[in-house]
Amino acid sequence: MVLDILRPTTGEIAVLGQPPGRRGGGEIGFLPEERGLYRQMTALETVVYFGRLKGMETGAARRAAETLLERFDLAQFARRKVEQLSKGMAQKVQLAAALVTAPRLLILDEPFAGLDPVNQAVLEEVVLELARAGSTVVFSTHVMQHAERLCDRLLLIARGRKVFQGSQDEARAQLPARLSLAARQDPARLPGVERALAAGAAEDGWTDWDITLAPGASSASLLEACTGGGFALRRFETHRASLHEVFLHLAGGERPGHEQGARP
Amino acid sequence: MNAMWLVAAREFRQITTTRSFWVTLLLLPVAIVLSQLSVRLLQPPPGVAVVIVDQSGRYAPQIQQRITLDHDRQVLSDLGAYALKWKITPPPGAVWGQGPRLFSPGEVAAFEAAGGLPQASAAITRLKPAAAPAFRPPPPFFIPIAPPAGVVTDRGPEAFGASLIPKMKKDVATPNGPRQLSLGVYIPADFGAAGAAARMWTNGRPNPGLVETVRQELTGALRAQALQTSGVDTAALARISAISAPVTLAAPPAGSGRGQMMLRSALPLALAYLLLLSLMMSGSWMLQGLIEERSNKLLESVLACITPDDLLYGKLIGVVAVGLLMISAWMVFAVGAAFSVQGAVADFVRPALGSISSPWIVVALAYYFLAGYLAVSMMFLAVGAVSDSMRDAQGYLTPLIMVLTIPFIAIASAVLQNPDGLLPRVMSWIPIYAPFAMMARLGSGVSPWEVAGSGALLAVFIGVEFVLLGRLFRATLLQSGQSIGLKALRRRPAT
Repeated sequence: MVLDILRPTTGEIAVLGQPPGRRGGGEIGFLPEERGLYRQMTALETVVYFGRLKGMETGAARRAAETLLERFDLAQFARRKVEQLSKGMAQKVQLAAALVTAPRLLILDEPFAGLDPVNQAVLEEVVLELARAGSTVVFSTHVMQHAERLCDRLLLIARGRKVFQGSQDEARAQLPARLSLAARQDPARLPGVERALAAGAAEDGWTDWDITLAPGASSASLLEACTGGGFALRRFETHRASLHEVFLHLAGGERPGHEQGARP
Repeated sequence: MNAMWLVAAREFRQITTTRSFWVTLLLLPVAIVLSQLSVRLLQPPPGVAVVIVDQSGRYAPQIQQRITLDHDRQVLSDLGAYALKWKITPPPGAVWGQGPRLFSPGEVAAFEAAGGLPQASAAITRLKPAAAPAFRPPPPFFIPIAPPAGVVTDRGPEAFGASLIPKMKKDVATPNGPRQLSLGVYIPADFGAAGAAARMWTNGRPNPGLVETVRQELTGALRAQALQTSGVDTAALARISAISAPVTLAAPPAGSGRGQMMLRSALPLALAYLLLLSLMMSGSWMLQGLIEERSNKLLESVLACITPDDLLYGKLIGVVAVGLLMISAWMVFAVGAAFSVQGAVADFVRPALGSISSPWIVVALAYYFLAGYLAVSMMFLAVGAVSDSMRDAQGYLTPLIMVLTIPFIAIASAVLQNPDGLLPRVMSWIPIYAPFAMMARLGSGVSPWEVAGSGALLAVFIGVEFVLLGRLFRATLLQSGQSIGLKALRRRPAT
């Protein structure tokens, strides 16, 4: 719908402040989940072709294509037919085709799938560069680490339904705050502590505790209460929930194999 | 608009860089060249040898005279055809200036008396246009020769036949070079007496003309003998023998005979055939391209950049350009061959080109060609739009090709029989067949209102195809493995 391939049956869509359409196609870059290229075209021709389809002049498209192929370490394969490239190389060519117009909005569907760790790092770098340059990058992934490293805002989908939308902090706030500490006394009675479980005995009478804070309570206020109330502490560590944990928490009982993912 | 041309250019380039395109493009000229070469190289030289052993010594000269007369007639007829073809005004009274026909023995004699072939050739050389090649008289088809060495001629017919048969299995030497020995004739010394028969041996492929010539001459000689025996004097016999039935042969004016009408239909018909051939090829290439785009989800990337309409129109333009390139290459080759080669092909194609000399016929041919291309290409695109794989497409392609080709064969055959027959006329009003039927008929004369009416109907059909195909494209391009209902054609999707 954003790309104007389908139209909504109800409601309205605005993309970059305009109704969706292909007139400003160069402002939107799209990498579909299932990758396909014209096998008989060379890598360079492919990127230039998509650049031209989006309204670029031939010269500009060629320059941008060469730069991108260089960036993706494909310069020496620029004149090789797509059918002669490996799957990973072809994927980078398609990514270059999506980026050739330096779009203001980039939509990437599972962009890291099929890329080796080195190329994943290159892609992450490109995404961050675009974002720093003012572009909006929307991508889908099943790997929460990518989302944690790249995303300002997240939209989590489970069973085809949105289960969360917001920033990473807001996402983490969905889980009760947890921390661990070492104390001589039971911390269960401290203000803001919902639950305290002894995790094992430490030396010299100190005990390790896993603390779950009550909703609305913060680790800072607990620390303040400890220091103010003379509650002896040997260790005080806050645990930041991972997006993976957040997702598991929100998806709640999701069975393996079900469609689920995050759209940061 | 720009995107549409980009798609067209890519489609064109993709098809024209495939090996199958070049194989197809070169196949027709190569086939024509090979067929011409094979005809020239494999066809046996004209003429067969005949051996006549006449123990009476009375009949062989007469048969040889008749063979010579028949050849002279052929020379005269060919001279007449040559003069007509190259528009040579013959000198007054020249027998060869009367056009190709059957000449009487008297006319042949008059031709010989006037100097025969050398005299006629000299006159023609003076009168012919510079571009006309020199006249080449036809070689004699029946070549009487002396019995080859080893053939027994003096021990009766059985010995003659037994010694002749082995000679018939191979070529024998003649003044014109090695030729098949087609016929051996043995005429006994008492030929004409009761029980005395002339005998003939053939090589298994008897030439009816030669056998009939020998038989006629022997019969004529016996009749003459019988007449003489009955008291008819020699002078009267000569007069009777010279009698030739006064028959004239009416021929239609040049350009209107059945042969000429067929010839005038030939080029448009050939164009219609080339249209069908190139459509089948380019349509199938386009279909493969579209299915490849659908099956590897490439369309998602493309449709993120351009509209389905741009994609549809671009593909159509690309495939029409491929078709035009193929047809142009074939036409250039055919016309070039026709005007650079002297021979039967050239003689056939040159007058056939006359059928498209009128500007409005050229315009109508061009219109039907392009319209036919669009109409049928859209059907191939529709097949591509609803097929996820070539296997899927085959299910639609086979009936589509049958629906197109079987009636085409009927149209071509009917047009050659009668361009204004019922079938060609009816087919001219069925839009998917109209391009083929009208192109095939245009050379032989079609009324302007019929061309206009059929053309308008075809234009409407193409318009409806555009609308329906556009809807089908929008509805199906991104769907895979889903059945496409009529709803897809009825409703107009938003994009």
